[in-house]
Amino acid sequence: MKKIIAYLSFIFISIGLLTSCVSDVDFDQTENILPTPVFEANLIFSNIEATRFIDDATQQEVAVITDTTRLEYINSDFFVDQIAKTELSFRLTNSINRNFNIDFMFVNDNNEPRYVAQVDVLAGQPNNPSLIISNFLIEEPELSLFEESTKLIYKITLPPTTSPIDTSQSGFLKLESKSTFYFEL
Amino acid sequence: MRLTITIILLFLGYLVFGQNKEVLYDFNDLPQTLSLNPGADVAFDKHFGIPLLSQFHFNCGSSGISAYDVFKNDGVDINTKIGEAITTLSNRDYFTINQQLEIINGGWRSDDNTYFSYGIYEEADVIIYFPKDLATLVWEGNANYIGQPFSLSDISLKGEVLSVFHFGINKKLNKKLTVGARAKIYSSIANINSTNNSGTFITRPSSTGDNFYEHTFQSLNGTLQTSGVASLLNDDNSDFREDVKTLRKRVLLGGNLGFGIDLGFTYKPKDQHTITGSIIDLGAIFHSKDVESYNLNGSYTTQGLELVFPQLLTSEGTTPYWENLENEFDESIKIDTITSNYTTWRSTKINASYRYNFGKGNGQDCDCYAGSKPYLNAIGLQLFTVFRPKAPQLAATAFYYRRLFDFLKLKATYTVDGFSAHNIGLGTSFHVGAFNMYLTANNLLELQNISKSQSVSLQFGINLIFDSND
Repeated sequence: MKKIIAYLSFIFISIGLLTSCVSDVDFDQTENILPTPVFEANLIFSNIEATRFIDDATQQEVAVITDTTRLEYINSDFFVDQIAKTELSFRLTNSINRNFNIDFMFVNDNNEPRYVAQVDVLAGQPNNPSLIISNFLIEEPELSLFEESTKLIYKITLPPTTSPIDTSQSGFLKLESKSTFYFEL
Repeated sequence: MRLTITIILLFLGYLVFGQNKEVLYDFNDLPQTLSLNPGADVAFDKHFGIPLLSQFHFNCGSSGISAYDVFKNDGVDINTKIGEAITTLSNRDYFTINQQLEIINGGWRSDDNTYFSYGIYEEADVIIYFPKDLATLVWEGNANYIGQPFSLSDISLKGEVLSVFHFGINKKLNKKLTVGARAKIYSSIANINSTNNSGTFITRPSSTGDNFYEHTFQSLNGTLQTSGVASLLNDDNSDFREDVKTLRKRVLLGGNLGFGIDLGFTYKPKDQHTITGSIIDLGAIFHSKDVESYNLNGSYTTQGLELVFPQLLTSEGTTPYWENLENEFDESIKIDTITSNYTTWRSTKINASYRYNFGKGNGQDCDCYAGSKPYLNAIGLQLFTVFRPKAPQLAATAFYYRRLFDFLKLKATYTVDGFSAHNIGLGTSFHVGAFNMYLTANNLLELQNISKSQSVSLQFGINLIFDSND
């Protein structure tokens, strides 16, 4: 009799210990897990002195200057797959007494424009610079094109004027920029 | 990414107190108690565990969170719950898994006062601290944390799989004092660890005013050490059987070797009072075979790409700003692969207990080495601590032991630890002749819905125990 009680109690306790259950939970929810981190990263920056807009050879104001950098990450697989949208921010501070038309041209390896952000900068003074902040939100369908770019061209155009920059001109055209990447991982 | 998160979360599904076997400790009817205290009171003449079945121990835990917290079916978006979990958890919270399987376990009495025991067991032990800063960075990004550093020191983890060959001596010095020691040879099958990391990543407003921000990697210094892993990952064969062969060799002392000892005692100042203590796994493993470690080191600050509009363009048309940035970064932040030897300390455990025995029965049973009939009841307190990378984990247990019948012994425990303040455990040991079967588990209150549990511990085994006085 004692043995039967012992067996029964052992079995009973064993069942109690081993048949734990999981209830009120829904593991299908893992399907919906979607991390959405937002990263901010500096892009390009520059600070151009007024005299840089004068051609060394002719000593005349130039019509356009450009500089280019590669941006290898924009069309990387990770970015193309995981970016939901991007916002570009440009802050331009102009203390040169001259207005500028600026193009930020995102181009592919064949220099075909994929996305262009345009900003017009008003003339400023050394003690009273003009400030402009421009934001560009890039979502589909533009985003797919943007993601084909591998290079960024910073193009500064000097529109026709009656008072061009001369060698005595002072001041700077300063650019700060960043991009905000909205990921869906 | 989603898979990684799912795996981490499923960890929570199983979640106890890494390594604490509070129900089994000082359960002197079972030979396995000798593995927790080599100086335990031995009440039998000979034992032999059924190979591979003498003890299976599984124990895992998560401090701070349970799977239920994340997966409960409450209509709240799971991403919201994960975000809340990341906010709630601190970098001192951890997930642990500890599993042991006895391959061989045996022992014999050589004289009235001396008992020898021996065995081989396999153990897997993992502790991962919650890398709060890294999790926050991946989950939320840096945009809401401008000016706040993300610290690499949050990454702290340790994982090993090893086999242990051991031999112990238990010596009753006099009526009051029994002492014991066990020598161990460790054969590490695989080891991975990353502790004592430092350095930060911060995005903050530019200090020079050249651009919006400056991104700084400050004094990064991180190390990930592995042994026994590279050969399994790098080999060209996709044949799993080959890997199993390699692993089998390592189980049989073919891995990275180490040495350790266990020490323990039982002291009975008066008839009904018992004090015990033990220190387990005081030892180290020396990793020299199949070692591959990675070191991340350096500092770097960038404000982005500065376009300088050179007067004379190069033939390429542009300055290689991007390549320059990449080169600067690569020169500043180094990741080196190191194959030098390293040593890991085992997670040393300390047990202590006080036990008060009372109530003698009328049965025929005889605790003959104690020279008297056994007490039927005992109550007491136990303390447990295990040394972990960031801090020791502590647990306190109150227990009641009852010899219900000569063939059925029960022990109930109430434990307070880092996982829970209401952890009730129960152990049963069943004896028919030499045949013994036992099962212990804790967190019984949570077992009705294991997903709510932050920890689970389970031991199960079958032994043959011989006592010439039976």
